[in-house]
Amino acid sequence: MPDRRLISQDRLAQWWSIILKLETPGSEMVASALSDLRGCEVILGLLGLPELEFPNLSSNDLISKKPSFKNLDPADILILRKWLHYREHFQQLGEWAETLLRFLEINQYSLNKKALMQFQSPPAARMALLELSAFLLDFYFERKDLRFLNIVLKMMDMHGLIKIRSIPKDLVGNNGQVARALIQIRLLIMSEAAIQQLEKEQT
Amino acid sequence: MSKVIVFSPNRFSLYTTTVTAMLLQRGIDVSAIFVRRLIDPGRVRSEYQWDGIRLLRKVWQKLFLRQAAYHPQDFETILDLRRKYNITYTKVEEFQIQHSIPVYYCSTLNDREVIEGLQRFQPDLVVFTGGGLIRQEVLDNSGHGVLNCHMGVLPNYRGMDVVEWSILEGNIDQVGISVHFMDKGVDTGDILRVRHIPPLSNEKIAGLRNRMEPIMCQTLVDTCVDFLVGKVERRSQTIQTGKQYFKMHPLLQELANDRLITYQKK
Repeated sequence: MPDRRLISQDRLAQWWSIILKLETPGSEMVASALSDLRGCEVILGLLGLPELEFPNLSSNDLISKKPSFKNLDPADILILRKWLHYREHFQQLGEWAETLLRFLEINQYSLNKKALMQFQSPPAARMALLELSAFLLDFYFERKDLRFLNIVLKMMDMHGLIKIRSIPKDLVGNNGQVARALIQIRLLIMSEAAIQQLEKEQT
Repeated sequence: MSKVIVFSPNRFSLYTTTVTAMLLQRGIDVSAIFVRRLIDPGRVRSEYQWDGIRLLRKVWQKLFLRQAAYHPQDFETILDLRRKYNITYTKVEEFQIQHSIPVYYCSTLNDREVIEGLQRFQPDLVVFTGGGLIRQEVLDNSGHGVLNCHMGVLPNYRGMDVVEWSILEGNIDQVGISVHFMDKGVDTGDILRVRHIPPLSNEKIAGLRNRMEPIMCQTLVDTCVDFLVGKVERRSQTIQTGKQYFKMHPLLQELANDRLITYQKK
């Protein structure tokens, strides 16, 4: 079987051990990046992550919104992930995921520009795309619809979305830096787990 | 006699020249060919948006290599089909010279000139051999509609790379082609005919796609003729039955190829 690793096992183990040693997450962003890793550690043979509470977010606004990228706020992405985590609002979740998938596929080559227009600043745009990728990857694990893994892999190939070198060695920094680092690690871990799982299913 | 117009993605399209020649051999009156101009900044931009870097390979294979891109195979390729039907046309202009079929060039198949051309010719049917999405106004002026052959089994597999998608999802029995009418959605129009094409042993996806090409030409022409004489009926699709797929990431393409090998071993 060809080697399709996205990250080396050593690096993965190193990050994982730092994650396990992290103090109780100090912000919702950090907590949401870590929570709900959906058994990836089992697939990848890593030690179990302590149970983490999903941030408490109100979803009233999102329920009444028409699904579209233009209507999406950064906080909405967390709410979508929360719905998925607690298996709430099944139909709306599906509609949002399908709409976002279509938008991201069609606008793949102008996504950085569109995200910048939508989320105002480059760090906010990058964080939103990272969070969005995390949501779509969670959605893949939940519904086993490979189209969502496909778009995440394509987004991860996008210039500047995953910057492994920018991940602080010991995951130290302010909440924003740690959250950005963790969400990237999360994406790498989960996509690695998804690919390994698919390979195993094959045999 | 029924009148048909052919839509073409470019003047060198093997698919267009093969299908048009086969329609003429079957006694269909091809009234005109509308072909997209190759050198068009808008076209390059929009195709790059869809294909990304794969566009370069596509241009190399379809515009530079053309027939040389095909190597002799154990199965029938589109070149074998052309030999079988004695088709020698290499560009659409040859139909103008040999059969006086007018050829019109356009930037997109939705241009005003195309709509006016359709209103002038009043075709019974338009046969689509590639060239992008079609707008409602064009569809409305195409007689019974615009007929397309999709490389996937409808209604389950709509969109792009669906040969790979059906294999990756483990639905090998859903590899095939569908002739359908185009509508404003992506591969959502009424279905006329579906053909399942199971992969052969030791066949890779690229080979399977090559093998499907002549079957697509043949099926599109047969279905067009059958429809015009009332031998085949339209069947509407239930959109909820299938999904729309998009270009597959190279990593998943590799997995799809592996899955096909595993299936063949079993």
